[in-house]
Amino acid sequence: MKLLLKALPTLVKSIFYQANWNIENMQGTGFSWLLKDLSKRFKISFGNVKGNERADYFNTNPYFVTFMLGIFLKEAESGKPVDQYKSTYASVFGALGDTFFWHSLRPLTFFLSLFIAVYEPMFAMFFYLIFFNIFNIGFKFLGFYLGYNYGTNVIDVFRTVSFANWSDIADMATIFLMGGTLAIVVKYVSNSDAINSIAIFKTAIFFIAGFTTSRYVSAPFTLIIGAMIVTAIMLLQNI
Amino acid sequence: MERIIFRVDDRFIHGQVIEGWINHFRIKNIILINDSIADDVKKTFIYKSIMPRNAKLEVMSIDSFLQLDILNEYKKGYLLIIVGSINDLKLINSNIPLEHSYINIGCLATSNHDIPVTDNCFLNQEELDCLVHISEKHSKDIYAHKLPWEKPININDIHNKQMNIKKIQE
Repeated sequence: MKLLLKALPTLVKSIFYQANWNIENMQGTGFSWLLKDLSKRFKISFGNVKGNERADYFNTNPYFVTFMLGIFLKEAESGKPVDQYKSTYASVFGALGDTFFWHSLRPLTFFLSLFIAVYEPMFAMFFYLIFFNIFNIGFKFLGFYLGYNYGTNVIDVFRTVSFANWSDIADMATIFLMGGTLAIVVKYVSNSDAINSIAIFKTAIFFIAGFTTSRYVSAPFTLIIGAMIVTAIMLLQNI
Repeated sequence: MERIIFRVDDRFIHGQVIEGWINHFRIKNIILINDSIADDVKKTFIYKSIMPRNAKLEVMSIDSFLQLDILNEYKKGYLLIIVGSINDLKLINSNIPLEHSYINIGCLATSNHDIPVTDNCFLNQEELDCLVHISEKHSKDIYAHKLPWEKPININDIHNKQMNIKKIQE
């Protein structure tokens, strides 16, 4: 707890460390900025960490960056070379983070919110932010704690909890929710307890339109397009 | 897409490789060729730990790979072979079964570079010449291809573009 409180300002800053993302060193400048901050707070040197203007190349999944900070602090305190596993863990956390956060958690959160939106639209909006950020903020604190306690052996934690399989479970939950949501939408379009073929056809058209559109726009817009389609269904029913 | 995918990527295994290539093509066999990783038990263990279910990673040195009979060892399904640099690709190119292989350049951003190919692939003139040489020698196109669903860029086109720029400058 003491460790986390001491590192709290750096962990909060890690939310913004991609602000200087660039094609030259990707997240390198931001990571260097975080290391300098951590160095100041723990009064420890990270060796040859370069200045912000010529930082080394660094790229990982942004939700996992605090694991790296924890590992660096642990290694520096043990007197070992801090960047021995830098590129390895940056790649590995990139893979784990992309699979869990981008591939699985985001769609799962979206469909959970969509499912809730059918009954409580206002709550669904807040639910999306809260649910996703439980993992986002949780990983920031837990990541630093685990990175510091396990050092370069932190991969053992991921093996112990079978983290590579979490995305499979999240995918299954997403598919279940997607099916459930579609069923509710079909029933809503039918406007009665009896589901008719016209309602299924209308829903299928909306679904294909949404799916096709989302393939041609960048990821953040997918949620907006999805929300617009659901709204369109609701409005058309009222008309 | 050919059955054997050779990828040059200085980050070796990361999000694009797992999500883009391994999961997309359901690749079960992956070979990582790098001398320093093959010598480091811990790094090998770390990379193996993040493999998706049903995917098997082998880490081997360049010499071990040169002795490998790829077509006999891996008869079915996709095989992904990852090297960390153009220089490593040059060293192993004698053991690439060209008729079954697709050679692509992924992320190359950590080395000194001045020729932009994609937003995370940069080459220097020496590397570009080396790729063109391999491509011409084996009559096999080499592409910069970040993700399978993105449009690949032929390295020969980049080379021709560079030649035109030089001519204009002269």
